[in-house]
Amino acid sequence: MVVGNKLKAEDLNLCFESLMMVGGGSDGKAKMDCGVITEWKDIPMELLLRIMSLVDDRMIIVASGVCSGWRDAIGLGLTHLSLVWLKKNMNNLVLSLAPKFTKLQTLVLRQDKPQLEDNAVEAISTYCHELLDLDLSKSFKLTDRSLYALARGCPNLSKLNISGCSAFSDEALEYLTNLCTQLKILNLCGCVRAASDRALQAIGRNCNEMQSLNLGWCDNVGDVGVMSLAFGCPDLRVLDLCGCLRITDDSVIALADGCPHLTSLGLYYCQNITDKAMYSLAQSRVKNRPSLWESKNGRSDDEGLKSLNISQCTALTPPAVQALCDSFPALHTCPGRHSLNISGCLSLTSVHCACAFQAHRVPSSLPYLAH
Amino acid sequence: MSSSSSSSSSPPCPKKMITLKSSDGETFEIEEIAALQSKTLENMIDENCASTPIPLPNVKGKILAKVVEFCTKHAEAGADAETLRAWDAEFVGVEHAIVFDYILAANFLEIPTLLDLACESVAEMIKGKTPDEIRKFFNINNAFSPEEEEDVRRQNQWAFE
Repeated sequence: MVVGNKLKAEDLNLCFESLMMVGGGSDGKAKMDCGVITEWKDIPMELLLRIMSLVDDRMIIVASGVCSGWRDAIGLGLTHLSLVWLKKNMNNLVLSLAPKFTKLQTLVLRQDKPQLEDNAVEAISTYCHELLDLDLSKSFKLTDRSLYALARGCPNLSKLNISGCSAFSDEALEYLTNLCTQLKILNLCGCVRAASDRALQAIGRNCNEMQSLNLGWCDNVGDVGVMSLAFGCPDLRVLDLCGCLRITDDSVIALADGCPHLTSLGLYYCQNITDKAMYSLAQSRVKNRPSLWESKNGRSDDEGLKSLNISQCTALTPPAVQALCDSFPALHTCPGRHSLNISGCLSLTSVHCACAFQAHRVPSSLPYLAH
Repeated sequence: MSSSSSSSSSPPCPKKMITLKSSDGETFEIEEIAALQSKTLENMIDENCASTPIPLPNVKGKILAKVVEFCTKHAEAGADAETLRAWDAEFVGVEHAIVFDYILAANFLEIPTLLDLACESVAEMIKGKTPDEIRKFFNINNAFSPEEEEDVRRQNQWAFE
């Protein structure tokens, strides 16, 4: 990013003449200041940040300790920070940095060894109100206190990853969704206590812009919850229900009906799923397919399902899955573009995507005609 | 543009010279095609303000001379990437105070290639240094209070443990 306006000769002349009148020293602005900047400590904020974008996050922390000018410039401008490289002191460092880096929009605190505690998340919630994207995955030590704090302090959150945070309750998650209504991407993989039907109902009520939800291994999830999601989140594109053993065809039928933009669905090990679910997805495509005009003119890139994981869904039979494959040209069983996962379903080996049958591709300007 | 040339879209006339005036009154001539490396100058050329010497109150003569050299080199046709890179490395292989001036000038004149080059060279100067080493290197007097010093020391310790 280069700072500067369109300059006219008259402006420059004025500046030139006033140069001698304006004293030295800057206030950190890079524009037509005409004050002469001569020292590194006075480097304009945008330029220091440009240099910071070329070094790693640890160096940025070091640089923020050089002088008050650099500390303030970085504090006012830094929007992205990742501390995943920290092995020991993440909690201390977050406590120390949160009050300084108040403009953070993205913060990655994923841990291999659990370090983060509630007081650090509370600090983030106190100082970083502009946070949009937060990754707290594998923060085993965090309790509901953190969720309550985040709800109150970071209402603009659009992307939140709390996968592996097994201590969170569904009550606290519900509270969060009441206040963080702009959530679009939410990863609750392994949050067994938090991801219950009650929480999903809250998401369906409050987070209507939800696009991507990961509920992997949340075995408390049931049809009631998923149906609330399908009803309340029409923009859902990616849903991972792998290991959600309780769900039945009713969930999939509701999704087929309520989420026309679904592109990725994970049903691994959902052994209650039958052909009925497959047919409902296939038929929803017929209803929701973009018009011929839209496809030809590139107005809709809605290819429907691109990825489906039905491995271990042993109740499914070939005709139903083939019907699905025929309805969604973006689902592939061919080795190069494999996106329909049927491993463990020995009866489905006869199912093939269109690529396997045809020697040449169907021209992309024509809609794919289901057989 | 009162040229009566037959071309309808006017490409830059290669030998047309622009005059630039530094903050300390020195003038420099630069080929128009080289001047186009600077968005600031390009805008002025577009708006036909380039007939008289262009005053650049933020850039002193010593630096402007080098900026002209940079733009001229980068506007040369047929320079291969390898040679240019080597030339660039030599160009910024100067004391940091001058690189600092390059950054400010490149920002003011909106010359992305020079700005990137200079910023990268500063990033290399900074990498691997402690706050104190950075201060010494760039002659920065930090004027921190004892509490702030302690805060920085602890922060650094945590970041490197």
